Amino acid sequence: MGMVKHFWGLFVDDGRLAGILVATVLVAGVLSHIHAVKWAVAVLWVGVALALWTSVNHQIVVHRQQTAKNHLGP
Amino acid sequence: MFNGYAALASFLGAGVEFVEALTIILAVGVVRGWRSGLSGGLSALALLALLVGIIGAPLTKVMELPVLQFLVGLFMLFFGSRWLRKAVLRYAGLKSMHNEAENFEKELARQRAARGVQSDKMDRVGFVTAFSGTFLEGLEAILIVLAFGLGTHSMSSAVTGALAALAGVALLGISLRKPLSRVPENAMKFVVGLMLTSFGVFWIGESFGLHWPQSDLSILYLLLTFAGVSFVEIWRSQRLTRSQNSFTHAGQGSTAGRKA
Repeated sequence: MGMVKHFWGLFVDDGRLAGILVATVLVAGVLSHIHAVKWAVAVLWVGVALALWTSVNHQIVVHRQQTAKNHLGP
Repeated sequence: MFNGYAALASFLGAGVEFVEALTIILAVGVVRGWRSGLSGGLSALALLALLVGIIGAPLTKVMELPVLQFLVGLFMLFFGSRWLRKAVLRYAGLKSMHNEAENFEKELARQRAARGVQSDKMDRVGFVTAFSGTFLEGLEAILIVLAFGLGTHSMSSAVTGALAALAGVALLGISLRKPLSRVPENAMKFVVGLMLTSFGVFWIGESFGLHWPQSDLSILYLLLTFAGVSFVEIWRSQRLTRSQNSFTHAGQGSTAGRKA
């Protein structure tokens, strides 16, 4: 079980990032299936960039909230 | 034909993992004995080499299949974006930098606390620790080698890069006998993460039958896009941290002034 968990962790350690990537691939797949090729390329390109941006941005927000909380004290 | 891109990517990606495996082997060697540490590490490497031979060779023959292109692309995308995200967070100051010296100390403490005594004979705890640590780190290295080897249709170049990394890390480990804390691990993970993510997106598109603008050159455009996003986020986070720090110091200064 530990090995499975470790193997899973090699691919997914942030649900937000993984979720957006999955959605991007699915949407691109559907678009390519209906022959909207240029849109599929754009979705893949922008989707992955957006996934990275969203994931890192979330950490920035969390960090700022934590720092503000620490500054205010108990 | 030798593919420099595959060799370099494998060298960097596998190198990072071998450095982490070396830390574990060194810690086991110091506490539990070198026989256990080296035997465990070498056994894991032999098993990994076998896996590359068993899995890598047949896969190269069927790489043209869209299903396989999709699976390899998906793996590269998820694995690569994970590495890229972590590297960006570290550069942005949102996550602590990977510290091999610290990991070495932690592993030393763990080995000392474990049952059994240091011995010149084979120590079971030491062997298992060195084997499992090297296998798990090496598994990531193997996945990177397979991904780049299949993605560039140049498995031999990818394997060559990984072997060069293994030789380099082993030589440094033998000569220095301490963890390689000066290796720029985060920079290597950032570069490999970018390469894996770009390649992964490209291969997923290929498996869908998409036509990328300017074909293979799109990989470079994808890489530049993701690098751009990464640098902007790093810059943004560092700027916000600096402004937050100056706000905190200003607050502390005015509080001190009121007290005076």
